[in-house]
Amino acid sequence: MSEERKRILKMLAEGKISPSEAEDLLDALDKTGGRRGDDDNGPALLKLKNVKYIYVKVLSAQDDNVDVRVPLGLIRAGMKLTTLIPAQAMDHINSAMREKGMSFDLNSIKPDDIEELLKNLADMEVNVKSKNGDTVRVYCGE
Amino acid sequence: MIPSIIILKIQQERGFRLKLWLPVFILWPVFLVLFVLVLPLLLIADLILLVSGVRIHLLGMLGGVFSVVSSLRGTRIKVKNRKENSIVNVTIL
Repeated sequence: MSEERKRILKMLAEGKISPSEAEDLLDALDKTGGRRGDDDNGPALLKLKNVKYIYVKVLSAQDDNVDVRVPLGLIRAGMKLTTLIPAQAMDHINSAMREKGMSFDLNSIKPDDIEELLKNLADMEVNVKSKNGDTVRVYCGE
Repeated sequence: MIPSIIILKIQQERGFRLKLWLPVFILWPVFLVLFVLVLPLLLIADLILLVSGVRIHLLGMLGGVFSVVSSLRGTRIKVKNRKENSIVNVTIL
């Protein structure tokens, strides 16, 4: 059984997601190549292991381009650094974020969550195209 | 792996071209010496903060900053400006 499948079933067992949500997630997993019964050496996980960088590419219609490659390790280190922020400062950060409409508690991020987040970033791809022809692409790769 | 070289390339379509190899690895021994010198002070400061109940771990923060700097290796930033006809490329190796 793949790690992703185990995680979904664990979330279902813990009551974090409903059975129908679990079904949807399992179906989505099937569609992305993680067939039920795949072992941990399946193609999906192999793909995750090769991911090293996040790429941000901005191509403007006026030919002003930006191409940034950020190592995933930097995100990992940055996230871990947040765990060292003193509680008082963290409360200020959280309240400031709440004021800006981001109800997100940085204290709740655990090292396991960071690893899970980074693993799942491999499947992430953001493509934005504006009316004037500017495009922004964010994706992970080798 | 800590970054050892920063390559800075600036080029314009006509004429100006600059390629700089900045040997960052030269700085690491200097930082190491500084760290050894500052370490006792950091430990004392950490102890004072611990006793006074302030939950700030200076040594841990320094370690965190070091890990962030270490993971910068592989970063690449490339900016192309059509108006100036220039390309700026920064790579950390």
